[in-house]
Amino acid sequence: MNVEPLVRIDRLKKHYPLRWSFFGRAIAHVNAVDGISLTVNRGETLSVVGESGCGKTTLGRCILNLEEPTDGVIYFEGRNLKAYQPAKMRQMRRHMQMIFQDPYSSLNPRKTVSRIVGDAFDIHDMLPKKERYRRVLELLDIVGLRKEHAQRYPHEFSGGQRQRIGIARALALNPKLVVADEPVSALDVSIQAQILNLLIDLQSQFELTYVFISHDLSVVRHISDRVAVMYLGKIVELGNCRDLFSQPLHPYTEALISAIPIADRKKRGRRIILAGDVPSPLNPPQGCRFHPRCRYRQSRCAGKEPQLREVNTDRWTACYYPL
Amino acid sequence: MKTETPLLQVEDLHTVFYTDAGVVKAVNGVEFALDQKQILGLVGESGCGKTVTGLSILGLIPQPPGRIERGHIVFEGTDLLTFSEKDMRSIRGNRIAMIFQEPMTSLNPIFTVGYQIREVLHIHRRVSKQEAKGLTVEMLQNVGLPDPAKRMHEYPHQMSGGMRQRVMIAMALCCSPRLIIADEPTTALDVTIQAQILELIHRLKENTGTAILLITHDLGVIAEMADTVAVMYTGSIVEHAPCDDLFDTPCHPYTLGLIHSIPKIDQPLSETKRLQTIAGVVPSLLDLPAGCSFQERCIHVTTKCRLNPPFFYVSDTHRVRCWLHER
Repeated sequence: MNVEPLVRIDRLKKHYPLRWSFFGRAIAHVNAVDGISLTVNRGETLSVVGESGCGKTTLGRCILNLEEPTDGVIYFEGRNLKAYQPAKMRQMRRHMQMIFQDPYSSLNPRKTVSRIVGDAFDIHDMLPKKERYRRVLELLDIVGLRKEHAQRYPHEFSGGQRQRIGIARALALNPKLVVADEPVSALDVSIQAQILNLLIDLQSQFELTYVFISHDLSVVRHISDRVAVMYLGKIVELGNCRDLFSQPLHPYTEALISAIPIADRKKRGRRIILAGDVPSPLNPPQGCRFHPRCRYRQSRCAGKEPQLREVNTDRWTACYYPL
Repeated sequence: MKTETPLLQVEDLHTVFYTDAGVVKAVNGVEFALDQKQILGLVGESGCGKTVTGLSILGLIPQPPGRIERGHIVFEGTDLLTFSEKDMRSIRGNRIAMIFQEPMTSLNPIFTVGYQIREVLHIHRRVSKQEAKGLTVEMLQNVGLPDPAKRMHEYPHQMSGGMRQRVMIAMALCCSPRLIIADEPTTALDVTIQAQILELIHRLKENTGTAILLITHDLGVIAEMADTVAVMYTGSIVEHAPCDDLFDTPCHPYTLGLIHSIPKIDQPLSETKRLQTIAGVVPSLLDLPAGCSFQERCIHVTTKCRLNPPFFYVSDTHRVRCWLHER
């Protein structure tokens, strides 16, 4: 096991300008990601959870260098991604791939499956032409599609099958890191289970590292080794999956977990219903960003913003009064 | 007051769509009853006909291409299918209301939310302008919209998803309907907001005594809300039981498969992390297999499954459409 984590994120910020002054200077920003430090270890599944607009997708895109960070550094295998020239960056890309949420819009409808999956070899000029097709068939087999599917177009497939195509495409170049952005949320539950199993199998087969972005906590608990909970562009809690779910430290995590509808009525705990909506990331509250909705808040919470700190081994939280 | 006949009784409903590719049997012999103050959960995966069932009750099936071929929808003792469009209009939004999945697309973006609620009141309750205004504020207050007197002058785009869904619910409640059809009311919402809305729906049901037909794909939401549950698969109800019975002793292989394929937040993690799955995919509604439509994916399949199973009663209230439970 290497000591250096696969990915290290240091005080990452991504602000999107929203309004410009007369002279073209940005005067209002959406702080999608607002100072996040995080490491992703080799071979683990790190999940990023949070509600819509909390910045989890932006974080994922920054890790892959698909968005240029406003501030902060991302190290991939110890090297700063920003230091790469564009041509070199493109080569690096084969080590990091993405699986997208919507299997309908993320596949080009005018290309056959073999083109979609095989394009990666063209871009990286990797395999001789003859080999390519063989490799495509191999990949389709790995993700549970049949040979004859290679010549079909995306519209001929169901949602679950399309997601398999997207996964085959991501695996084509033997990546080290796969960022999966809500890979199962567009799928029906019976299909969702098939895809989750596939992702779990592939991870052990190819020693993949996953950054798994999701809003579905039951899925996250099932698949992750470590979990980062985001709220308004910040990580509020980070820790190993088992402990985080059995004993959340941050009041937001507690409320999130308690809000999940549970099928077994006897095991249902007391529900914590948060008042109000998530505030706008345009204008986040002063102090702890969660304090206006927090049921444990004290005067200190409105003052200085709490920083993410290690409360226990591998348990981090950004709360003055962890539970 | 408990009446002999249920508030809503759907019998042998068949809704089909005539498409270029063929005849799609979207609803294929659905039958259920719903009493007042009750929540019936209609659960199933996409394309199983749960939404079309809801739209059929409201007479909102576009004709053509759709057509209700057979069946009865008896609401308060009269068959809605015999009603003219004009009669239906006086029922819709009045005696039966609907809450849609996506509050952004189901509210009109060019009118304020207050206007849209007042419109319902004008059409169905014929109240004066002043009264309507007061009632609107009251309705919005009931659904927990903060600062209703001010917010009623806002447009849908100025509100968050949760607030828009509250407005939808206020609109549905305007005429004190006897039945609300809620089609995936929380699917587009975040989980903390979903918890707020589910709580609201529960409270309103207790206060007003309205019956709710809750359509969703989320078994968790069903468990939380429903009194009885009907599981749908390819246009038919395959299992129908009181909520606790369904989750304690699911009988149909499809129901079992559904329940097992969700990662459980309340159970210890398995070492292998693998989930049980249902093999294969939902068959096309254009080309359903003869007999039980689940047979191709079922692990207990026998030759008998080539015949269409009737309902077998596991108990008085628990029925299942599967030959395994033949007595």
